[in-house]
Amino acid sequence: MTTYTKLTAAMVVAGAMMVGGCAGGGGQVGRAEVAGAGGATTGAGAGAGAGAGAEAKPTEGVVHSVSAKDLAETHSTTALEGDEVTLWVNGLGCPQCATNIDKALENVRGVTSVQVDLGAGKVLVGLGGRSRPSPHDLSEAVKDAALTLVKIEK
Amino acid sequence: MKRSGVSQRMLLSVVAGVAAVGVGERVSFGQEAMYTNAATMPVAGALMFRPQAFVSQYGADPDGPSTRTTFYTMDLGVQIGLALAWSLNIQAPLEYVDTNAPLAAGGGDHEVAVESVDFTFKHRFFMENNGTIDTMRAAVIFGGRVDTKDGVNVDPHVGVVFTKVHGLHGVNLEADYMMTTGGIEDRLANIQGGDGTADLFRFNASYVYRFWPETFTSTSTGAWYVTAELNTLMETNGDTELRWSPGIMYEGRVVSFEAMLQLPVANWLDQRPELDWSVGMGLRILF
Repeated sequence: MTTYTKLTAAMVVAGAMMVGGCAGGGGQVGRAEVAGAGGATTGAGAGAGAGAGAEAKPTEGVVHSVSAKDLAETHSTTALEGDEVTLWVNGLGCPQCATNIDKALENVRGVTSVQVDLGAGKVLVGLGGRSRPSPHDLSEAVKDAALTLVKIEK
Repeated sequence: MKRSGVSQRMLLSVVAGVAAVGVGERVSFGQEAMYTNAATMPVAGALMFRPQAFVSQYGADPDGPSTRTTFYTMDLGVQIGLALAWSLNIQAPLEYVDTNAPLAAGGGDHEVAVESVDFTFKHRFFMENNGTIDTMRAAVIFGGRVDTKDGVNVDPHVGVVFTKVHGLHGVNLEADYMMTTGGIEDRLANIQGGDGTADLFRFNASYVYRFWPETFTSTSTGAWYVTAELNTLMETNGDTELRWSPGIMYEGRVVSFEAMLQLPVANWLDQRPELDWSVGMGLRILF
């Protein structure tokens, strides 16, 4: 049997990092919040201590605070109107997640462009053509990419 | 075929390796270290090509004349998004094995081979995205290694993977069991964990820390991470290894890069040589 004492110590440090890693988080908050039904939608900069409010600048670790109505609207099967919508998305944790949602949304009929903002957790979707997608269509595509749509901003 | 029950020291190793990971089938996607699976995968229809190169040096054969064995491995992996929450990983390692031994004992030897192809399905059965960055996911992995080292055998394996990402931090945990139906005889210089006739249990843990950018912006297209893994290999013949793997990784929207060093922490090996060190580099290209 061979034991590498120094490396074992390093392992303990690494283990401690693992245990402590997710607990630290630099004050970032990781929880979606649903305001009361009919409540105003806000963007809360949780990690940076930004106050809640419609004008709050999104920061990393943001929790999309949305109303029950917003969530319900993401399941609507009524075709969207207009040239673009902004999707508020949870789970956009890495660059390849952004590529995943790109690919998933580009397969939806009526989607002409996709632009991912990793910092804000939002995706700008261009719409065009005769057949427009419904919020439900976009929600399913986002789900395919292993992400969660919490609001559609028209 | 030599098999034995789970020994006391193996159980102790399980306890000691609570945070550990292993040299698993490297089924990977976003925010994932080199040796540890994550519960992430490409979207349906997407394909990831992941070539990886490893150089691993082992010490003396416990039972033979060899003084050192070096494995040069080119691991060609492809991961395909099959459907919602399903993916398939196919992996074929090409190995050049160089064995050193004293001339009096017959000298060294070398061989080149593609000795196995692994097929692994991954199904994500749990997902909770509770923040713009933050996510928790769990997946089951299962498949088989078609082993051609000594005849053709299929070694089934099954495991679970858990991933949590919180802001700058990510943790992956993986446990996987492979039942060996064939394998080559133990106590040879040119075998690694899982190559012999014993079943293999792998327990891997990785910590991934994003050090750049500190905060994603609207124009962010890539990120740098440092990674630290604990890799545990436990065979039913009693051989057990605990390894530490520090590394660095760049993850882009399409192309990613990874490099890692792997060092032994503790070995309880009777059937095969001990790892001295291993280095690995890899690319991930998403189509």
